[in-house]
Amino acid sequence: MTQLLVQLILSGLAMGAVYALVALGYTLIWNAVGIVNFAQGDVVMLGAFVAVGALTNMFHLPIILGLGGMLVLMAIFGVAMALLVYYPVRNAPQLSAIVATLGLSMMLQNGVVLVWGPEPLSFTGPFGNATVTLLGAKIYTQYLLILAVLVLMMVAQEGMFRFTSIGRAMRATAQDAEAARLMGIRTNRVIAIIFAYAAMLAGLAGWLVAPLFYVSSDMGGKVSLDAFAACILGGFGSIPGALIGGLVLGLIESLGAFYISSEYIDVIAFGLLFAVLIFRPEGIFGEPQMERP
Amino acid sequence: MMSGRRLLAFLVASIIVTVAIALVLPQVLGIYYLHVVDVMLINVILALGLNMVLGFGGQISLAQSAFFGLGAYAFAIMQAHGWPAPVAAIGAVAFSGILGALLGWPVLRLRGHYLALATLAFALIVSELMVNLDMLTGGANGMMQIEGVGLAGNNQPMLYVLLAVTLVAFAGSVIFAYSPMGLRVRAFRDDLIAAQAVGLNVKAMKIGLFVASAVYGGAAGVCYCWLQGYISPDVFGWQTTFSYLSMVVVGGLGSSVGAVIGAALYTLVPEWLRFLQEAYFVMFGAVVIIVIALVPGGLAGLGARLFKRLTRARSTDARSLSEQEA
Repeated sequence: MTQLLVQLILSGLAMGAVYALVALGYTLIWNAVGIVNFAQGDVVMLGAFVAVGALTNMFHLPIILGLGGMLVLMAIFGVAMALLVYYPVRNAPQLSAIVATLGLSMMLQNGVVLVWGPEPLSFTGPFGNATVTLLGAKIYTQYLLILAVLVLMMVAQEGMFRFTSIGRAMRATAQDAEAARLMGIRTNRVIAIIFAYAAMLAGLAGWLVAPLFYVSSDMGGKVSLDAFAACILGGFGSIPGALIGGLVLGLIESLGAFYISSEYIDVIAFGLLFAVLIFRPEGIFGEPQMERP
Repeated sequence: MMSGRRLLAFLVASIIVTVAIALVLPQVLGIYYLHVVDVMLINVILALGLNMVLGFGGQISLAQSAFFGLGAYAFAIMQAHGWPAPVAAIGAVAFSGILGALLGWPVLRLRGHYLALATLAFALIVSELMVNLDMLTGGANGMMQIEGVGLAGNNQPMLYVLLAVTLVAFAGSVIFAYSPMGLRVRAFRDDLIAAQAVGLNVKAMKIGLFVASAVYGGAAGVCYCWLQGYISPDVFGWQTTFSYLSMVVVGGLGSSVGAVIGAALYTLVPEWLRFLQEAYFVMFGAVVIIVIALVPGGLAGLGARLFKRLTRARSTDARSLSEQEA
């Protein structure tokens, strides 16, 4: 009984960690430039394709070099995204900017099919099907890797935000871009760096989930939605909120799928989310900002 | 502010254009392109409906795909239970409208992203139920051999039917924008507190907008059944809701003409880009980004500005903005 519970909780937390990484990308971009980048889930998919399809399958790089190379390429892609998608629409109304990111999402989903074909790719990952035994339960090593990476990334990110000048510039830009620019921060450069960092986080998430699922062009849609839901659950724009929102959503999905119904799990998870919104419109950690009906 | 006479002239012009389309298109277009136009008209109805809540009311709704599906499934199920087509059609549209009210009421307090997610969650739940309630909906296979009005697959007569429905939907949207109610709705979109201060019942209007968009979506769903004769859940999947959002935004938020332009381009441009073969959706995504970068306010706003420059509009007061909203 406890074995099963441990398994469910760890697999839920691992999926939640992936949502959290993507949700962080949403949050950072939202805080910096005030748009929701709905292509973030497809950036996850792109990262998985670059790492698995190009670097591992085509060039036969060792896994760790494949990961490193992918992160570099994703950073470049993030800068390109800032220059070619965000920058041209920066003065457009918010909703138009969102639709531009949907255009990007369409480009990415169909672009990878052009390059890698319609067949999904499989990836064994660093551990293959290896398991470890924890409290008597067999756990995929990959789940533990995902959780370890999330913890590591959060510590590194917190360090970067607190102790490096670029991290401080990122926080300043997120708080008030106008004031940051007046203080001599090159906000355009910082925004490009934020996009690069968000794309790296998404690529990392793609690399981490690739061994759990096939790498396919439509894997981004549901990840986008779940990560967006995680942001809302935690209160939009809050970094700890995105983290906890992601983990909570992962747990709900994992436990709900087993104990209630795997067919109806999305109905349950999003029904619950709908209910949370109705009774607490600002999310769990958000500032109250509701509208009088 | 559009005068009553101009409204009338505009509506008469719309009727003339519609009749001209009905007369000319079947002569010049093959059977395939007539079908494309039929699909386009259904998209126009959906975009007009979404524009009601999103453009006029400023409330982000990502539920349009759900209302589309609810209308289609309700019609197909009612007809399968022996209801005559007109009764089933009215029943399906009413059902969709009631669900619009049931969605609009609880989300009254939400705004921005929170409203976007709540409505998206609704779309996701509806699309999952279409797949999972297979006793009722035929599951992933959908429903086949829907009798409709006996015109399924018959693209030319369906063109006339769809043109008529689209014309009514378009006129409804234009008249609504012109009516005092339309002005009140735009008032609360532009300044909620001021609108409440002058005593507008914002709550009822918001629910009404959701009902209106659901009625349009439901009508589009019924038309889809008539056109195709079969339905499957992937047509109404939650991801498709973003296409309707793109149509309205690219066309121009808050403009009935814009919704028509947006839906038309969204359906036709992929057809024109088909020579690019597999690359065409990549190009299409790029086109969407470029259009938004060049004309952030949407194509209808651009058209209205050009028209103004050409005709040297006399009125310069702030109210003239609302002419874009015709």
